Amino acid sequence: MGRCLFILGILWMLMPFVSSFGQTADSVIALEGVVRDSLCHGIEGVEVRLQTPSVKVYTDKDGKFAFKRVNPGKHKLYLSKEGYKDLKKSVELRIGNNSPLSITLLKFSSELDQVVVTGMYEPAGLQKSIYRVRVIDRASIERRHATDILDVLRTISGIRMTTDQTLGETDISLLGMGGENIKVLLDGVPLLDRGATRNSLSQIDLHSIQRIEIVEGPLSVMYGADALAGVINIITKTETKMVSAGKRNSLGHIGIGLNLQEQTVGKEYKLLDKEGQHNGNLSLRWQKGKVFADASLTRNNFGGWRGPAAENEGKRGKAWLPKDQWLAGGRVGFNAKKWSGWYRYLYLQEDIWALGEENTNTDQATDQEFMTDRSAHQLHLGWTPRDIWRLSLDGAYQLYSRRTRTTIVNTETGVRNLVPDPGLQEVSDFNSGFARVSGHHKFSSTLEGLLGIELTHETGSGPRIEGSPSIDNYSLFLSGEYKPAPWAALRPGVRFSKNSIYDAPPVIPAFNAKFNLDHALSLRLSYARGFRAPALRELYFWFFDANHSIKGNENLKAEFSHSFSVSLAWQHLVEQGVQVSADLNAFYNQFHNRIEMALDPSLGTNVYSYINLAKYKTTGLSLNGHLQKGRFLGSIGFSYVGKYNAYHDQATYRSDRLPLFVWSPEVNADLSYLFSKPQLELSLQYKFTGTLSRYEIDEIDGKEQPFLAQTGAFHWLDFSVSKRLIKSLAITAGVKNIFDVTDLDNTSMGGGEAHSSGGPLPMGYGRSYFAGISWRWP
Amino acid sequence: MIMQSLAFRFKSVQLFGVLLSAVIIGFSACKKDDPPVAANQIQFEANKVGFSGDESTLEVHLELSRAAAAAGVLELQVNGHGVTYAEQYTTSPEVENGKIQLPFEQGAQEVAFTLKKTEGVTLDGDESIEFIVTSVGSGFVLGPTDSLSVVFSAIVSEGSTMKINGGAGGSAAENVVFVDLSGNKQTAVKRMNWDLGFFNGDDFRVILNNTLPEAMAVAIDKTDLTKVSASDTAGIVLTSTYTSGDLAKVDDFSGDLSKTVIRSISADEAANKVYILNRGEAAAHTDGKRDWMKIRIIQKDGGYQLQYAKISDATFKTVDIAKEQAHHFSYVSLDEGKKVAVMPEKNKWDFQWGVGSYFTGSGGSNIYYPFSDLVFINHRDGVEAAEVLTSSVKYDAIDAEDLNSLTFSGERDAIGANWRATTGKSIGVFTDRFYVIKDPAGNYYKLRFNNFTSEDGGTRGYPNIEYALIKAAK
Repeated sequence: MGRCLFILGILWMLMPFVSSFGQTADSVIALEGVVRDSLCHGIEGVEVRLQTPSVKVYTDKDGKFAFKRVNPGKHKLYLSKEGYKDLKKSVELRIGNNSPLSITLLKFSSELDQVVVTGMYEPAGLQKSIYRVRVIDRASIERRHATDILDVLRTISGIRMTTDQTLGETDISLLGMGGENIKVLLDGVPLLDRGATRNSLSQIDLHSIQRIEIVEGPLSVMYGADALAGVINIITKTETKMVSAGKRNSLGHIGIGLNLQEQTVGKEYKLLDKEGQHNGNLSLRWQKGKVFADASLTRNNFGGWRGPAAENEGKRGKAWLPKDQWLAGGRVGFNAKKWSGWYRYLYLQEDIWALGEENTNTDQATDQEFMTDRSAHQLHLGWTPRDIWRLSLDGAYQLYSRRTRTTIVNTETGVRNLVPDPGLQEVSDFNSGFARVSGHHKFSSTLEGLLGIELTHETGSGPRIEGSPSIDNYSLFLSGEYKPAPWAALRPGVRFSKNSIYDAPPVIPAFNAKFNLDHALSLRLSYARGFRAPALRELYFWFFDANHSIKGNENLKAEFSHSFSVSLAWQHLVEQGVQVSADLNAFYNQFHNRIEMALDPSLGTNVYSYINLAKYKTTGLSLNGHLQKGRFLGSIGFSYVGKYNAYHDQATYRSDRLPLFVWSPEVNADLSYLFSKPQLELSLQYKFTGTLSRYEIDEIDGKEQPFLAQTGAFHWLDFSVSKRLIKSLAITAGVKNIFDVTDLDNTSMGGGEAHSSGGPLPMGYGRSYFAGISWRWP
Repeated sequence: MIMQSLAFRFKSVQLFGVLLSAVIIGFSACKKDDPPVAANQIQFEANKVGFSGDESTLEVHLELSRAAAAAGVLELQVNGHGVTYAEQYTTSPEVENGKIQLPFEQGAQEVAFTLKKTEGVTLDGDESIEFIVTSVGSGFVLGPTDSLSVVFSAIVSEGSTMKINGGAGGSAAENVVFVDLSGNKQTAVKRMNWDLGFFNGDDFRVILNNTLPEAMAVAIDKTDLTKVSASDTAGIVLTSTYTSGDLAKVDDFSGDLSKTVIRSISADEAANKVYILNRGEAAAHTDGKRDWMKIRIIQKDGGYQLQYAKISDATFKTVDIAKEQAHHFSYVSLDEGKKVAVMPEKNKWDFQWGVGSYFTGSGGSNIYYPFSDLVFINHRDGVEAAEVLTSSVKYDAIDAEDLNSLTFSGERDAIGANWRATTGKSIGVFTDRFYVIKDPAGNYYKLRFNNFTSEDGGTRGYPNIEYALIKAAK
């Protein structure tokens, strides 16, 4: 949206030059018209461009425009405005009276007509995608006034979060599968993570993001390992639009954006620093001809939260750890007719503080600081020598380093000293190199294909990792799409992999199909074989102390799955400005060779290791509806996901009361309304997350038996008001977590997190208030 | 053509690049420097220690505030008062020119030397030796307790601090440490050094090494070790299963000798069964490389005879253990096949610290669970302990008058693991409480644990304690 505004702004600046070109013909007539939206309201500020002579005007507040002197004959009009579909209209002007033109511009819907890239051969409309792609677009991101991606995903159906309060890290799960089964991509390139948790999601600058695409189910053919549950592809803003003709500006076109947001954390807040949340972002864009560049600097400061209990008052430590992030990034690139490409550098510096309690016996406190440095070099090149050929290259090199710094501070004197124990000054380093080259060819209007190779190289070292292992992976993938009829598309695909360490599944097949049952109804079917590579940690873990005896297993095989899904999508475009769409989806996943921790007698008594042991299943369905009527936008969704209960099939525990699946429901809603006159947008996001249950074994009445452990249900509601003061300046205010969710009741022993020992599960830090300002120039 | 246009615009890009790199360099530069490491302090454990008439050697300890980053040498000046070196006493290392040089290795947590009375010498008890630290070497600083007076009589300490020398191993520290507050003394013993303890009192009772996790035993229905083979161990589980059933394989945690795994040793030799013994490991869940043993104990000459062998051995070895009066128990190491010294003499220690077999609640019942940092008081010699919350009286403020209001317990686990938290948000010693200990002589000491793990500023395996005399015995 910002980019469009920017281009529009430039056009607006250039207007005086353009419109000063004189008209020459003698016999001229006037061309008048009015531009309306689908509700028959005039639209102000639509650029109306006449092809010959090249003249443009803008509509007034009633949507009216007029060209005073135009030659008779055939003309072409181009109409464009941010948020509306571009329109090309041919008119024939005769000498004499011409009745004013009446033109309707259709608003861009947030879901229909989205362009998506995930799993696609080339960017195309959402409706054309053979996968069901869920899109969280820029408008939807902005409506959430989030501070990081996790904040955006919080009210998205199918996604849940767990926070490890010892480390201050949050992991997500998708359709009942944890972070290690979710592939997070940044413009199609996998993001490096330290362990199983997808903490990288909180380490991306939200302001650089154009949209988030989520594809459920493994896209193994296109993206390889670790996408058993699905792919989250983060698409950044790029300068793709060419600035249309106009006077050349020797400096190029420059745009500046500034965002500031202040938010309370529960009731805790101090202006600009320490308590509360403080976010600031400055971004610059520059474009000249085919060359563009952008840069941004963002600070996310989270003051932490003491926790729900009153006894935490006055303590040094916080339940939610304070965090400070600096993110910087820059990109240079070019967009030409056949070539396009860019290089980007991203840098993150993150500090998370775990302040220890004061030892009043010694006046000392031990503090830990988790300091993360990550940087990424990313390169993209695209070449379209002919319309039927398309080649692209993506490369990335990512460096991740995390250090734990332990210091002791004397609370009387304030003197701080480093603790020299190497066990308290741990450093983990992970690097990854990635390259993917793919070629896409259209053989005919019914057949196209894609061939690609992918190379990855990963190294890691750190505490509890044996040695400095490195893993190489080579893959070749092949995919074709055949349209036997205009309403049917079939896409088989296959991926061949070779891994230097573990037994990668040599052949990964997938099959997708899409049938347009009629112009409003489409059916998508998919089968895919997914796999998850054993993580470095699982291969090379080494952790022996009084409470742990765990050793990694170099002989692990990959986990793999058979995933089936079916999706029925319906969309209806009512002419009078009402758009309705709905989809019904179901999936079934069966996992094999699940890597689990178990006693390995060959390593000694009571030594745990990772082995390919368990089976697992997930299944579920979801129903989503979307309505756009004028300035009202609403989406609601329902999902019901079942997770396999492993004790159902264990002879020891088998009983009638143990179900095969344990289910949990979710309901979510995203509503917004724009008052056009005061330029005021109200927006509301809601999600109900049902009770999460699972069977665990415990000794009850002197007997080991399964019991149903449960994590409580909760409602999450955010509300915000946004007002545009002038074209370049908007202010917002709102409330997040209106239901004041903090810790969830939990009877599970593990809670799914290594450091959570049962008891209440942290979900939120209470009702928070925020206010923000955003300025864009020009 | 593209390349040309790229080159043409290179300058603008370059400008942009310069700006970008300036931002990035600016970032790297604002990385915070690490604060300095605190100085490593060397000092005596206490400023006074007693060397009474019934003792022939005394080990003197100097403690470092943390592991030495490099090897070094300590130098002490030795001044005898009423005693002369080589005549009434000697040291190891030896005194040269009035000084002792004490080398220590990298990683050392303490430095020790031995003081020995010359045999046959009698002393009045008012003599003393003064040790003064004259040099600590580079990289170390001298702590406040820079001198030690060794008096040749028993002392009643007024109070001191002490770094308990648990040794390497962190939460599975290799030593169990016996602490004598009134004597300013600690005795560290490697937990793996013994296997069985034989009661020297009237009863014939044998205890397992309860400082080793999973030291467990179970009786089998045989009375001849030579007839026991691997097949007799089939189905026997001697590791923790985290169920209440484990409790039957370990001794009673309260120290009740009528509830030991090994039944009372009968005078009727044929009634003494063979036991299968897991000797345990320094830490739970280690590799379990030590073989199980078969053991049988009988009475012999008013004492015990231990018969033992590896499970599949055709023959067995024996150790005879006569009862003696100075110690409550006599200890035997199966590795060495003989008696070894473990617990100090009766009445000469107040509590022990270290890893111990213990229990925890799980699902409504108690299960076997080894603890680190367990504190067991010397209940056999009448030691009692009371927990005092600082909300009722502060450590600094407590005096003899407060003693009447305290509730003392003679239970072995009166302190147990109640003094520290190892999980949750506030890992560390509980600073809201301290203890009052009545020692075997009847002295009352206040005792608090100052730190024990990295989270509270300490080092796991080397807890720091602080104690002071409140009321001396009459």
